Amino acid sequence: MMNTKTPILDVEHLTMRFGGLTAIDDVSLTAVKGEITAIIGPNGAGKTTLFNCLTGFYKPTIGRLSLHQPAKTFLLERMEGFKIARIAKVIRTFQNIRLFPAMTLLENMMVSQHTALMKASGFSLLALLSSSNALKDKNGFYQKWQDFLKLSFYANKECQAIDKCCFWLNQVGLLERADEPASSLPYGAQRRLEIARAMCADPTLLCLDEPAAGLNPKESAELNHLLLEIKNNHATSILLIEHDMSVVMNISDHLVVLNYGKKIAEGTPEDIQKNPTVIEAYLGHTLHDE
Amino acid sequence: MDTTLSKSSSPSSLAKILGDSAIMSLVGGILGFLLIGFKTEARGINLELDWRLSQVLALVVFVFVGRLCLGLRQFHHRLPAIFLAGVVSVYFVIGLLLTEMYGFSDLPLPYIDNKLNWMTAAIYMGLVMYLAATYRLKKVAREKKIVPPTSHPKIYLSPIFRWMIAIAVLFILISLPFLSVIDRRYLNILTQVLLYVVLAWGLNIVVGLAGLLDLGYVAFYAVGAYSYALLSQYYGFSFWLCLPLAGLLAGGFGVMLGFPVLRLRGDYLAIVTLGFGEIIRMILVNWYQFTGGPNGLNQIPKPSVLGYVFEEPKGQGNTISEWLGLSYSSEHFYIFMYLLILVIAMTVLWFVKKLRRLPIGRAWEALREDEIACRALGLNPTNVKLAAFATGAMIAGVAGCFFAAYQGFISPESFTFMESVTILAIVVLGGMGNQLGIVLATVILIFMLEFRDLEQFRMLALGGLEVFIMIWRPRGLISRRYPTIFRRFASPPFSLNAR
Repeated sequence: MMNTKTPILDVEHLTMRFGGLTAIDDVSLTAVKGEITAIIGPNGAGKTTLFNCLTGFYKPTIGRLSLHQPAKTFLLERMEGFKIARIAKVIRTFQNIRLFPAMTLLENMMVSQHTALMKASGFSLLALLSSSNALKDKNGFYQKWQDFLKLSFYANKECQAIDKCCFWLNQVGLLERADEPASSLPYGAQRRLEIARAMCADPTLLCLDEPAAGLNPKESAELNHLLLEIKNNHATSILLIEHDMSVVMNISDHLVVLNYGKKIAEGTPEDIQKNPTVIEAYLGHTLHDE
Repeated sequence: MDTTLSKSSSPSSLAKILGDSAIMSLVGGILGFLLIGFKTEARGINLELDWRLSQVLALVVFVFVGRLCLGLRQFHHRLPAIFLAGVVSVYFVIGLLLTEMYGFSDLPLPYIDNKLNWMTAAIYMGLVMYLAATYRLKKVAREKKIVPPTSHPKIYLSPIFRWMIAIAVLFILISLPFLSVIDRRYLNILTQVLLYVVLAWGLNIVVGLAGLLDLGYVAFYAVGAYSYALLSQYYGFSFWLCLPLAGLLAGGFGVMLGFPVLRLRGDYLAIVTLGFGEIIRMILVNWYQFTGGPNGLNQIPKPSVLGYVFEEPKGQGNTISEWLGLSYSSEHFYIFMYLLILVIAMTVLWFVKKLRRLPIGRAWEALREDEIACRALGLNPTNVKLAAFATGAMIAGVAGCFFAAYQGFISPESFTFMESVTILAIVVLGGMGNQLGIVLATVILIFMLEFRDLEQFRMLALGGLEVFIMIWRPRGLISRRYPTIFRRFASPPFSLNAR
């Protein structure tokens, strides 16, 4: 069954050591293109460290991380952090939300289109000459004049970018508040905004670090809906770290369980729910953890 | 007064107020002793120490009374507080008016120097106004039940209205030097203000937008000034050629400083930039064969306009006054320089406002807000920071070039750490990232620094003012942030064409 699907990400023998501490110990896993792969495990299992290795915040001690795109395969462990996001299009969100609080929702979204807009604006220098107003009236005299002088070359690109931002803001139900500062949003909405912002960068692999943390059951259900929508309608595969089992078990196609830096199980949600090693890892010592 | 006091106060609260006041007056006494307690006076060949302990005592009393007023207000005895502060200020004002008008007074004023008396009076009058204002506010709030602000977007002024204000202000600024009220001295202050506004707008990119604390900004200012002075001295380059060149050179230095400090943040960045500023200054001081050392460079040529120069006519027909048919006056040059810095300032304003709305400007602000998130979204923090340093430095370079031409003489003295601090203080007081706030802060600060009537107390007054602003408006005079972009339509559908 597995060999009919194309992988998007191959993690091979990944090991990450911090001095004497081995946070991840020889973990290998595969994320399939167009699927939601969930990584679960008790606190301190090394899930976020795995993400940090993937997105270039840490350089892995040992291991290979290959991201497959139709045109090319990228070796993520050799790339600089920002290039992983820019070229390989692996975009992540954070466990503790990292928005740009003083900027509006729309500006937050625009920042994730930075690379494309920088090119369109001639690294912001040529666009100094471009008209700054977004298109309002396609056939107005002013507009025709600008088109004649090619003055609106950047403004048009900016309009497209704004439309894309608005599309995703609408998807996460935040369009109404597009012009408010991100810090004014309640917690759940901030989580959604972070996902929308990541989607605006056209990721091939979207890495979500506990997107359901701190959400109430209704918000979790909405999140499920959003992630399924991304999976079904956009060319984005999802890698998910989550503790909320109502999210993990309902939407993920494949589960990887980590404990103390080691992979202890792998399989479909049904398999994992029955797996005795997983049950022991979760329930053997602590009862309060889901 | 007694009845109001006993109405609702417990003895403990009164004791607390008095205790607070005592501590405050003690602190005031110690500071006052150090600042105004003694003075060295040269008599003949001897240097003698004059004690001014009576003035320190007066200060202690006034601090005690002032704190008492604030304490009374804190425990809801607003009327006695206003009464107390009112009595003191009325006493002072009557005393001062009598002294100023008739040259004598039966009311003994505590300070020999009347400026200090005026300051005390002003502080007490301010206190009365503050108490009165809060008194009313509280009452209104209790009666009307003020509705908490909603989360709806703020309403901004319409573009047409803003353009009208801008044009009116510009018109006033252009016509200022031609008014008869504005003499050389005021024109000089206005030019200084505009020069500092330009510098602060430049630093604002680095500190306010990109969030990189730069304590050595004056180095780029120096690079710009020396670029013009040296290029014109050694190669005879004209001012108009040097203006962009100075900007480019300073921008290059900005990149040079940017590279080593890319990994640093916060305090560490501040210290390294401070060091860079001092390095530039030390080079200027010590490389005397090239830069003139501590003596500086003089006779820097004045800019010419279309080949016409600002000089006394010698019958060759190449001076401005002959060209325009005016009788020669040295003031023409200063009016021209004022208009020039106005043009530079407007250009810089346009440049900065435009940049802020372009991707690089948003990247700067994003970098200030969260560098890690920037990296996770594919922004290269290195380039974004370098662009901020270079752009800020470039503006300082242009300002420096202007400064050299305006003064006609530059020396390392003009580019000390204090200049950096002044510019940074303007940015912080104005409200980080806000252009209008910076203008307000510059006007306040430069007028304060240039206000020679306060003599040796002006730094004291400046410090007090800054403390007051930081208490009153901790995020700067204007801390409101104007979004760089707005959504176009309120509802779907949106085209997703970039897939």
